[in-house]
Amino acid sequence: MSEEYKREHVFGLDYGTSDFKFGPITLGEVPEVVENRGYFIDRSSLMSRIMGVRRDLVVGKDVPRFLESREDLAERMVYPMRNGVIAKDDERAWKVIEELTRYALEAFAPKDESFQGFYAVASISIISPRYMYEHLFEMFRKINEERILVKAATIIPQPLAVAIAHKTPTCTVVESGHGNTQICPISMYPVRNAVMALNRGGGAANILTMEILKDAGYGDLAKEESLVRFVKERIGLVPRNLDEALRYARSNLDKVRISIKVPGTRIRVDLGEKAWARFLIGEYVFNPGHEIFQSYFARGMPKPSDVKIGDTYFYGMMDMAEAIITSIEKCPIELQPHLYSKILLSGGNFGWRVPEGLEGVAVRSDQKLKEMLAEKGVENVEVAIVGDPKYSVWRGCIVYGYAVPLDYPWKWERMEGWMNVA
Amino acid sequence: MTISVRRPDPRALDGLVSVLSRECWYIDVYYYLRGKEALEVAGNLGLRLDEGGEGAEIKRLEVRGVSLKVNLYPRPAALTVSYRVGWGEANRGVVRKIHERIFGGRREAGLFEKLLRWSR
Repeated sequence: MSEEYKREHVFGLDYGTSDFKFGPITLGEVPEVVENRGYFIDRSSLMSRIMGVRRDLVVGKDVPRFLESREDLAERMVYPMRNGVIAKDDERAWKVIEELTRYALEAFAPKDESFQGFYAVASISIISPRYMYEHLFEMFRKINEERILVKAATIIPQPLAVAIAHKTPTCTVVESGHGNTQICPISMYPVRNAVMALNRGGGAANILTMEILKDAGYGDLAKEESLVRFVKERIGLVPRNLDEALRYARSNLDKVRISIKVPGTRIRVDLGEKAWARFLIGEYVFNPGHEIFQSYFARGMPKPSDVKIGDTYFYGMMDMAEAIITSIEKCPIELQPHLYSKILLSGGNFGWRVPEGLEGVAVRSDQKLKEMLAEKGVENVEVAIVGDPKYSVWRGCIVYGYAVPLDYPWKWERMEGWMNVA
Repeated sequence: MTISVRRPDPRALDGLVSVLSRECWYIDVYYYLRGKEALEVAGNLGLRLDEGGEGAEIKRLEVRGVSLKVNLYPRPAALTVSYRVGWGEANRGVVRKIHERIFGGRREAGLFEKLLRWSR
């Protein structure tokens, strides 16, 4: 097997908490994206028999075609990476991951005989325990039993993939997906004992959006998670300063008001006089401790709680700037200025836009964090949102796979290299 | 060095590659196409891309003496075209001609057309 073959067959797999991004090097800069979820079909049902459904589990773009009633959704739909970690004995979650991986590899595996498997680079959360690495390697071997799809595999933490994609050996990566936020200082390698995790991401903003929709009279729509996410992405705003933004919104309703139509349906959402609540959605991601959110908690909205998963604490209510400072202050003092001077924001949860006419009141994620850090006395900070934040982990996987030499075997002590799985 | 260009004008692309070829041993040109555009380009190249179908394929085509590698991915309806050119090819206007072939642009004038143009 030649180095040239490897370079042409690098395959990136980014197991995000909400979306699964995948594809070979030949896809260029944009991977394929499907939701990181699987739907277990009730094969005992009469309709499944009549329709000749032979599968137990559906993943990828076919999922919506098999959905049954709303009541069944919660029980049958499995989001395996919801908090970035899969329990060792969670068979259904591992089954979904295996099926998704097979789905991804089969979509791009060439039919011709010269194909001897991809060089797969999988990326998972920095807080993933060792058994997840072992399980993933085992899964690749199992997939190969039917047909060789993976020649060798390697696994890297998501923040490291981001740093690689941006060729930045010393930086702090803040990777915020659907389920959680990982803050990871990097100095050639991830500084593992300085990693901080927040038990909130885009999903927390979805929950708040649901409440805002209910308050605006769209209680029936608020039950559908995909619709809530769509609304959040269209209407959510990050305020420079929440109190000032709310004052502005109340006196300039016409500038803040928005009406959106859900494609392919007759549904139109308009918050009307409650359009000021758009600013709460973005603020909640960065600082759920603001007093305005107390009224939502008092009415039953779940508060992001502190949880311990494996050896890692996920903080629920800590504001994002505080978490970054805590993380960097666990590193050597000499290194700290370098870590503040390059903070990279990655992940779909940083893709907030500033609509025309609201510049200055609403800001992008990088500006928000810079201001929050300045308020806490941290200067000389450089915060940047990576280009296409949703895809940067996948791109890092591709660059990593391209660069790691073929003859560099996997080493458990360093967690790097190729594991032969064929 | 990697240069990304979105929807380049064929002449501008030709000029860019020609300039780069003076400083580089070779230049790899890649096209990444998705969805409807991928289906159209497959048709322009005389290939089939059945959207949602199974099994990726690699095809090789020869255009103006340059070997084109075409990766066809039916399930996600994606297609990539790649080829390598050096100084010689870059200065023959091959890049523009390949670009036009990919996007079904201006057709090469036939002998009759050339004669007609000459007689005018």
